[in-house]
Amino acid sequence: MKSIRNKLAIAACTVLSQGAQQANATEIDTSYLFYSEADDRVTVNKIITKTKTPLGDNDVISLEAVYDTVTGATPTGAVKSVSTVSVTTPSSGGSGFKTAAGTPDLVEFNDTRVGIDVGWVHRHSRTFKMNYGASVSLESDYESYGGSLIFDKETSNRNLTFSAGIAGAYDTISQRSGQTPKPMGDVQENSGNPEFFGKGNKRSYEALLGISSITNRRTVTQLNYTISSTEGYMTDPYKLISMTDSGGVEEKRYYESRPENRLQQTLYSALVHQLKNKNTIHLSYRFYLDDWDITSHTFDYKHRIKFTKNYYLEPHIRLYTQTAADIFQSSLDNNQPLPEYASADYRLDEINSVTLGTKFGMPAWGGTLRFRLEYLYQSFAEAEFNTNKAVIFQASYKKEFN
Amino acid sequence: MPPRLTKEKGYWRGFFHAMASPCEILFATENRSLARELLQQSYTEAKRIEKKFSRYRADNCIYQINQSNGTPVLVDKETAHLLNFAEQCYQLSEHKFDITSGVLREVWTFDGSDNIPDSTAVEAILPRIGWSKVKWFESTITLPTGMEIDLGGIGKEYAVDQTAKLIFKRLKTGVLINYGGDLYALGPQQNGEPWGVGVDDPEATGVKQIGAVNLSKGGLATSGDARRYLLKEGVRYSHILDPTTGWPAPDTPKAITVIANTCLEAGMLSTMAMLQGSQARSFLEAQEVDFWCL
Repeated sequence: MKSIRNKLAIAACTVLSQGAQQANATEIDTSYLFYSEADDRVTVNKIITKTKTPLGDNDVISLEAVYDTVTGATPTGAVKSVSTVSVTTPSSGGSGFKTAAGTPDLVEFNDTRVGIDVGWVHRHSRTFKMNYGASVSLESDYESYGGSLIFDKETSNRNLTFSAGIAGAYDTISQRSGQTPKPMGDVQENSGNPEFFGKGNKRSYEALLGISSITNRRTVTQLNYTISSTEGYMTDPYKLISMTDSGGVEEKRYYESRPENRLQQTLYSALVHQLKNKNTIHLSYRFYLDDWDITSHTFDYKHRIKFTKNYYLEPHIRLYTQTAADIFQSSLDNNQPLPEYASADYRLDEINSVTLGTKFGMPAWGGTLRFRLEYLYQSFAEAEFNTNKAVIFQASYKKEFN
Repeated sequence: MPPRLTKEKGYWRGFFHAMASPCEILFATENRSLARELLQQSYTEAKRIEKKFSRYRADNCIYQINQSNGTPVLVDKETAHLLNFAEQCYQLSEHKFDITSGVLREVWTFDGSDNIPDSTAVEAILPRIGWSKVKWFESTITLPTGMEIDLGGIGKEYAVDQTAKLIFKRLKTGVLINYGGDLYALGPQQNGEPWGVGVDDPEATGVKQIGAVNLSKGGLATSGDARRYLLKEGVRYSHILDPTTGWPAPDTPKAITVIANTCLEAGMLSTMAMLQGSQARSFLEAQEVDFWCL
């Protein structure tokens, strides 16, 4: 008779070591974020709560709720005027345009956003997962509804994961009054009665392909490709563009106008590597291209330095560079006919930006407490306000509940 | 009935009913509230395992698999581990331990009578038995129509070992777990003495003991025939059925008790030894374990 005892012992050990005592913990991660731009421009206060609850072994439900308030002033796109140009605030609705003479090149605002994101991951087999997502975001002048579906398939040794997915969103946009100005409409037309329409809307469709690989015991690499197509109203209903003479003196103002179609492509690659001393590096590069002629490159590097017992410090640097959109013009030329599309929005200008910061993590009350402090510097090639500086502070707390 | 706790000399004794068996846990501690808390946890775990893996319920994954009519069923991690274990036992026992053999109950009823089934009836049931006919891959099980699985041969031992794991986290002194004759000792009594476990005479359960085992650490399980057999023309038909033939394994011992590292191992070794029939003793000798074979 042959002995099966050792094989049986190994089999029993396997079943007992991985039996019933699995972590079916609910994870809650709450954070407060403060973003403040220099010169009393935009200030954002944001509260984010994320929860993740496993339902049995094959399902995970996640819920993310965001509440933020945005206050301050942002450039309208108009040139800093010398002469007084009065700007109307369209009909009813809260703050519209700053009407103080002389500087209506900033628009003041004060808005509150509530966003809810629901996700459901369902494991169909050991190596096949489906991710379902739905999101809603509501502000007085912007509403967005989205959904997504992503498949994840792992190889049987789990070293490679292939992902494929689709997503869609439907957004409505207006000024707070619920109206949108006529694109390239003259702000002062009919002595302060420019033409307005109802809410604008846009629809976007996205497809995603990804692969991630456990290259070795300490290295994970990832490559994602995303293509998205948006159609509809993409103009910013608050943004203006000035028409100036050859000397740069403003003559007239127009509402900006953007195309109704946009095709965007992104290639994202990332590498996470654990060094021999247990420190971890996160390196990523993102390449972006769209048919408005914007090309951008983002380099991101984080280096997590581990101290004892879950204390860590994580310096972070991010470099970003972007070419200007073909529709970007800092102002309109009074010798030329009005273009169909033009925007002086600094976000469509050529941009170079640097983010420097650090994160600190520590254990607290059975969970993890994290603080992040970052400084952002952006420079714009032609935009009227050609720099932006901001600080970002975030405090987060994460804990698991059984 | 909720679990009961009584004070004995040197230990607290917890008692409840689960998995169709009397369940007993002896805690070598003076700390009553700790014993009560661990007893409650053990009871909850035993009931959880019973509910999840009992084939007598209509609200668990076993029912879902048995009612699947040939469609694939995705199981959770814990069930997957048990199915993997069952598959390994199927292979190690050369197909004699088979969780699909339960359908033989349709023709065999072990009530002490002489009700031996017709050989054609047994023959007719064999196509519905055999783990090799089951598709088990990537957490998905596909059971051919007419077949059933039953984890009853593993569940109680598994519950004992899982409970031991649970108690071990909190109590470093000795504990003896005994679920219907499947045992695990986590350590000796408070005075350092091992637990004394009596081995029953299968023909006079609870009345006469034919041996005593000292157990300080490890699993112990007994397979036997006590009151479940058929007797016809002087031939005793054991309730241990060989799934490869559909008939009781011939000349099985009346009872086999095995000591091993875990209760699961002890349980599998005693069951597999039974299935060896007259070869039970030499099978156990080859395993180099402590055993009693009657």
